[in-house]
Amino acid sequence: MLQYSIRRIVAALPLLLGASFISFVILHLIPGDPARVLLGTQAPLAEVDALRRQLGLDRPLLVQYVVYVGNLLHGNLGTSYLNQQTVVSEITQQGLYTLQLTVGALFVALLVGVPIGLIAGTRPGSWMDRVGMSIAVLGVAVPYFWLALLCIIFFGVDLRILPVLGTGGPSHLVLPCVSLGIGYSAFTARLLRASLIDAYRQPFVHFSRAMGLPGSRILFRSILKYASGPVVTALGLQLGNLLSGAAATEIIFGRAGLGSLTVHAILAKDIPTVQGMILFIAAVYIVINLLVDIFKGVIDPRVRLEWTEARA
Amino acid sequence: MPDMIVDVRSLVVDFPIQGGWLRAVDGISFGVRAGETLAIVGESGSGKSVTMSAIMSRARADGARVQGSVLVEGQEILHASESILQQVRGRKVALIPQDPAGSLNPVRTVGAQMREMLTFHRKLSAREADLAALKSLEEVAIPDPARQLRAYPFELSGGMLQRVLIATALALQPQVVIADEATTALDVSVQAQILNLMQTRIKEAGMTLIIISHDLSVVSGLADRIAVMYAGQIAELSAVDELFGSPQHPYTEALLGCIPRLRGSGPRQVLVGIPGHPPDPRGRHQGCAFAPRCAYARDVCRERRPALTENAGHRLRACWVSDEGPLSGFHSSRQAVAAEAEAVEAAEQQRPAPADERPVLRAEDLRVAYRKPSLLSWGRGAELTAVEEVSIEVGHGETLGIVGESGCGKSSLGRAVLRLTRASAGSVRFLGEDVLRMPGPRLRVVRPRMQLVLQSSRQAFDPRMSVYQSMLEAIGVVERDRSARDRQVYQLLDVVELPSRVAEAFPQELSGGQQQRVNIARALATRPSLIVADEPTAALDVSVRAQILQLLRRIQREEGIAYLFISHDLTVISQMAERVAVIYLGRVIETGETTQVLGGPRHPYTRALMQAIPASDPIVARERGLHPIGGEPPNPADRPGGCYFHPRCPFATDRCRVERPELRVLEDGHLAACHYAETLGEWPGVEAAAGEAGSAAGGRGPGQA
Amino acid sequence: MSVIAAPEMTAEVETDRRPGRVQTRVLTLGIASAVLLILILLAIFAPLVAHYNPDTPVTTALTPPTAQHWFGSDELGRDVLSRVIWGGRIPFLVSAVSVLIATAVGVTLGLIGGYTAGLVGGFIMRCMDVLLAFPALILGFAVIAIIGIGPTSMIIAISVAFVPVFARIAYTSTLSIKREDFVTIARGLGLPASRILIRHVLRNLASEIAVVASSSFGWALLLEAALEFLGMGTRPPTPDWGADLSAASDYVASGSWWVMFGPGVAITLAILCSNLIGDDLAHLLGARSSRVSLGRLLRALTGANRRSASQEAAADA
Repeated sequence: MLQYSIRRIVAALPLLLGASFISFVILHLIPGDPARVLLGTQAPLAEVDALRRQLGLDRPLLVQYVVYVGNLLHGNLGTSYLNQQTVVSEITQQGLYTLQLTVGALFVALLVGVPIGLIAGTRPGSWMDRVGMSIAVLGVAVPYFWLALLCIIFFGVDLRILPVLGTGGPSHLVLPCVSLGIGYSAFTARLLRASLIDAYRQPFVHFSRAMGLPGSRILFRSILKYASGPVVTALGLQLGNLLSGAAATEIIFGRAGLGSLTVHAILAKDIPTVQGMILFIAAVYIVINLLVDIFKGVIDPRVRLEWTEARA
Repeated sequence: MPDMIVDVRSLVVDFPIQGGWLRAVDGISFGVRAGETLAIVGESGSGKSVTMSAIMSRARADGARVQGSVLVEGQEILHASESILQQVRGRKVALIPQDPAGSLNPVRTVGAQMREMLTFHRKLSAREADLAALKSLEEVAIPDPARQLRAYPFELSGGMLQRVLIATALALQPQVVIADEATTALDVSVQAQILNLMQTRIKEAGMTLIIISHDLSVVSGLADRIAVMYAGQIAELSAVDELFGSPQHPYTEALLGCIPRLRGSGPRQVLVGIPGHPPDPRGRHQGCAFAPRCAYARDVCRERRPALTENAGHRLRACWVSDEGPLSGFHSSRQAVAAEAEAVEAAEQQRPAPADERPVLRAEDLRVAYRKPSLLSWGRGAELTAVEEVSIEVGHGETLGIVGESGCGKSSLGRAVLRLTRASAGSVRFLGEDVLRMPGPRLRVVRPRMQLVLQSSRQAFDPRMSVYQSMLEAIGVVERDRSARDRQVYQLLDVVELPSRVAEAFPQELSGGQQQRVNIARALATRPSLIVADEPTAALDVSVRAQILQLLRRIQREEGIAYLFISHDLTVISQMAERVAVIYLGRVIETGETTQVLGGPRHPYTRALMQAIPASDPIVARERGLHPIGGEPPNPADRPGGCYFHPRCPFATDRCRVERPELRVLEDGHLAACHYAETLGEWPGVEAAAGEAGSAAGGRGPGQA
Repeated sequence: MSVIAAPEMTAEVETDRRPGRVQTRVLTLGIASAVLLILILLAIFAPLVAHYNPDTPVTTALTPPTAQHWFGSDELGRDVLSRVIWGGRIPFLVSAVSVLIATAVGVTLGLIGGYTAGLVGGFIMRCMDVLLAFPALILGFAVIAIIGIGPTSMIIAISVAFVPVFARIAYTSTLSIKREDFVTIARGLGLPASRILIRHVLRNLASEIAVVASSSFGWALLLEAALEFLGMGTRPPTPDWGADLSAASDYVASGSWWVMFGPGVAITLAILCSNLIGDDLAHLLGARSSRVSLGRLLRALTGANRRSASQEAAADA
């Protein structure tokens, strides 16, 4: 297990390196002088020159990249020219809000999606399955930002039971989390159903039946563990959507957070913040999927074997 | 019949298909006495497995419509409630399934799954269940049982898993055990071990055993009675000796003639096969289902369905013809006729002296190694050797048989000589030309002259191309003229005895036998001098297998094509090949004329393989008994030092453990790689061999995981 | 990597292949295709269909739905229905072009990678992995940060996000098709690699790609709408569902629900239909040939099956 985890971590390193390269290269793909791009059009010439020297922009690209990675490792993501804060401090300030929103939405997704998927997957073809899946098909298709607007009208404007705008307390989280989470609950339900149906077709289920084990016992002791692997993996991959979906949700509900930060930075051409954010979100995403993979190794020993055998 | 522990009456099973029902089991009745062993034998589509799932009351769950009655100890279970079924399944009747690897949940340990069955059915505590599981695993001679309990299913080999499942069945202490094709997926040496276990642990322990199998010879040594099924009905139900001695149903008689027997020094057996193919279960047939393929068939057979009744000699069979007296042995006499014809033909068509003195194929010191790529880098991982220093030669119009168990590298060898897999060392010469170092343009000219026929007949076709298109593609490689191509498609189909309308079909619409015929036709399309046939009949039913083997022989006689015939089945090899090479872990361990090698095997492994083949005669089978070698087919990734075979060899000495024997000439053309080839003694007792070798064998142990 | 979800939506495994169920599938496929086609045709022929100019005020601002203005009017008094009809042009164009580019590039890369395997294939797939490490929207942000706002940026962004999805599916399928017996036979016949790739591999891959492409179209629509919604697509006053939704969101709190109703329904309908088409295609193609295995698709996408060719070969040996 330890060996497997180490291998997984090592395997994620090239991805992080690739992500850092992409965020690095953004600066150089933007037309114009990179130092000027970084500091914005209003920056004094002396400062631009200083930065140019500091970044070694006259040196080969590879050297610059090494310097960039070196800065990264020291926790230096540059400085936003909009408010002169370091990008790192911006991220740490805003990150918490986004974290709340994402975790809350994930919670909603699981709370709604898992029971529906469980019911549909254990009784495929029944009326409950059909109703559940029809809702799920719709749930997947409704854009979360439109759902957010609908929520605002219904709960905030018509019923006036929940606060709509702002960052505030827990009640401010309800609508954003629900509108963001519903789509993922539909996804979760469909995925769990598919995985369960697949599991039910495995010969070991037939064998357990033929040996007289009751259906509920087979489901809870055997099938669920088998079926959860693909679901967990796919949900891990989905967190990327959740993370970026949070951006739009934050803007609609006027919440602070990384999403609002990034969007404003892009629209204001605040390149250091954009670079930092892109790298940060990719890194978070890679790390989450790393954790998912490790968790998958815990439930499915075959995954471990596949990775440890490679060097055997 | 009160003494019947399992009593099946008028069982009918229908499956829903587009536009109606498919009748899989068509009104069968039989009983199983307590303590006896009944074998249900039939080819694919005969309904034997559906009968089994009806007895386990599973067919209904698959959406089937089930009628009739199945009594287990007087208890009706066909339409019983879930709670009654729980009392029967697993408690009174236990199952040993066909697919041991799939029958256990891959994400749970073996121990957890055994414990679950035991705590539920025997109401044991978890501790007691673990102890019972441990004891049961010991009973089936699993090495280091405590460790296996902690292992996950994928960490065990197929043979080990089948032992685990037998142990599970035993631990539940049922009255009846049903073994559904329990040895089909296993290598012949492991099959012998499992059959041995069923004999000693189930049959001799007094349990009732029902064996479902497609293979008459597998059950011959074990069964007391055999029910032969055909097209959803029981054709004949007799005591085993009577069935083999004087079959009362033409199908049984014909089936017995299809079984290839191990040929030591005698002449080759003529394999007639049964003409035609099993009826389509979707079409309702009038009269006897076997009538269209039966040599004895008369008008009454085509009009009225015979019932399973006792004839004058108190034998149960469903046949109008045998009502009038014993069968005249027509099927066997037809064999004799065919044999004579073949002999005459062979004498007339003296093999033309090859214009080319060089052998068709000559491989020297061939080595095939796969690289296990590392997932963590683009770099190169560890090497896995599949074929090691193999030298073989195939002459014009000759068949060289390559035989070995799974993982021995025989398929890699076949592909390497065709340069479909990269050989890492050695040379391959085709008619004197170096294939491995041939430049691309030349290779494209030479390649069509050596063709490949594979086991999986259906997967050998692009599912999006019709038979005609597939054939045309092959012919197009050597034939430029378009109209000639079209003509040849039909000529080739005719050579393999297929009607020309087959050309329009898509491969998935053809039966397995037809698919394999098209495969052969396609291989012939480029007029090859050599065909590498990699398990060409392994996936086919017995009656069809015989047809295909006979077809291959005829083509060889007529076209003078050389075969490199690869098979795990020594009986098939013995019937097809003039010369044979036995492979173990990628090395040839014995080779020579078939009569030399199988008539007087000099390597312990060759002997072991021969010993492991179930005798097709029940009396011989019981007399000879099963003497399986222990251990498992080895893992190519984990090679022992010295002689590769020493961990399983009952004769192994210290010398064998350190020094690898070279292949050396024993007599003219007969080579073996054993230090003691000349002085090999008698095969020692079963117990010693099985016990010792089991623990030392390769296999993928959990320790490596 | 978020776009990876697209084909997974279709990865619903169904045991039931009874004729009745197949007919239901055909029916929903027909309806979904028809609705999507109507939406697309409306967008294409918007100048003929729409009653009002989408860019000029025709009535008072924020009029609720009336007989003249079925969807009401927006904050500038423009007819919402006309804007919805016009507003499909950019989403459909951007999504279609992006999916086409992504399919072409991705399948080519995956095919080459899968057939050559080894170092080239490994390198290609590693690059795809890096791309997959970015959620699609974030990738979109990066592209827009570089070349600025506009439909071209969206096309580039969405294509780049989808290329790895197609590449990975083509790659894993090529790897497995390459090991199929019929490809071995074709090689044994001495057919050139290019012919084998096109005639045997690509043809057997086609239905799988079609399934993924159709549901990717839905995801491309969603992505486009999200980018527009965040103000990174077209500039006002160009009609566009996402952008209009964004503009409407300012008036939601005041109770003018109709402004956001039209564009929202349109987006949802378009995405729903594309997803349904993907689902149904997967089922129908899967039922007809064994080539499209949904389980395999799921594994390919979740990367659970990262086994390479030589590893498999070794296992066979």
